[in-house]
Amino acid sequence: MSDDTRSDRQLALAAARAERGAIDLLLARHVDRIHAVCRRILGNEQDALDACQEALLAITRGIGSFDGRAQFSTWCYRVATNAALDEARRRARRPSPIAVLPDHRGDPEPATDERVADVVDVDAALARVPEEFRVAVALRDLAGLDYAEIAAVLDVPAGTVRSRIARGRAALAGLLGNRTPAGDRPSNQTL
Amino acid sequence: MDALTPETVDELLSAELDAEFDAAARDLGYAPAIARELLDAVPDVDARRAALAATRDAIAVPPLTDERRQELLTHATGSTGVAAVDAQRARRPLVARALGVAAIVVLLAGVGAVLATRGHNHPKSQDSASDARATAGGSASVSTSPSAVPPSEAKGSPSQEQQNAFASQIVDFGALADASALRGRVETLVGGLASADAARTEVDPELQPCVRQQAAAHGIAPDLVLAGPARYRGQPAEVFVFRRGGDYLVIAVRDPTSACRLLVSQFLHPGR
Repeated sequence: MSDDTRSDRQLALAAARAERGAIDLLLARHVDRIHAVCRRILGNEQDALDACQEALLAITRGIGSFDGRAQFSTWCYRVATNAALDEARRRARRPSPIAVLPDHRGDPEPATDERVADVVDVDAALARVPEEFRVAVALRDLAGLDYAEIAAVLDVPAGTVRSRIARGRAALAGLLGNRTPAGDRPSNQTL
Repeated sequence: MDALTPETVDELLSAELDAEFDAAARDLGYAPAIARELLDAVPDVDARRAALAATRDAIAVPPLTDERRQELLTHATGSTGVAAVDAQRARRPLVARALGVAAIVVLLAGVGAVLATRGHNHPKSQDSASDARATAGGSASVSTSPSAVPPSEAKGSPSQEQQNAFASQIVDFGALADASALRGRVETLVGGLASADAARTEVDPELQPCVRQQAAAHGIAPDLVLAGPARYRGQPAEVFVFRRGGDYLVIAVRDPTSACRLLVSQFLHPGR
């Protein structure tokens, strides 16, 4: 890991001036988080790697026009988010292979709880969360952006970001089994 | 005082997780202290707080392996030179760019005239080209498409489409386990390119848009020197190798006749 103590902005401006090595340092700082965001937006590793690669290339190609007026993190994760969403759209246009289900005939029927545990994994749960919530949660919990930064990335008000994150987490909590049943969700309303 | 709805409870708890509680409370119309008081009075609020916090842990993604991270970075930062070139290009005055284009046009016209003259004065020039192709094809892995006609051999005036067509050596790159294998394969092949330029063959017309797209995406002139099929990481791919000055840009794409999806790109710096 580099011991370069310059901020992202300083490195980005250096990279924009084609300073040798600056873009390498910058991408090394962010590649894991970019990958994580793509991974959770897309739900599978291969697509995430494709999107991550596209994002890194786009950042490298575009860094020459970075002028420091926007935060680097805003620009960088906007590129990453767009790469992931573009990949999702391309995937949606591709024909999907028909899943081949394992033949369990003759096997004892698995217990209901086991089947649920098999099916309800994180990717499956995230796939059921609306994309706009999923993206906001990923940018918060995986990229570590604050609400203002996410608002800038997504070009929506901060209040909308807060609401999307809360609704995304609530949906995930239910789907992942960290559930207080919807009907029993806590409130102090008097009915 | 209004009670908190379940949605408001979630929104406040979620904001609390992100250290944004006060701003959220105010946005929702509560003084932060009042919102805190109302939240604390909600039955089972601690369980709900824990459930929402658990989602954050659940969606964590394992870090990339060192190998995969390095691979991604190598592919991307191989384009550093492209970024610099793009930035310099953007700063070049329009007049200079126009003069550059004019110079290229004049140069191409001059080369065309010389070739035409040689074609008339040296009837055996086609045989020489064939000899050069045979030399280039000495390696079993390099072949030329028998149906394609190199632009220099086309009879009559080439159409605009032909003028814009890309030509290169056509190579079977074989099975490539990863980017390192691709790089090694190309390094071997580009060693003999200097003598093989005359052996360029027009690339399959269905692949030409993909060639053009990838060159544009990487900000380079489409000086294609090698192209051909491969199996990259076990999947069918098409490899394009462009020359950029003394370097080469190596690209592998998937679905080259349709989506033209980039699998990997890297610069080669021979001799460095």
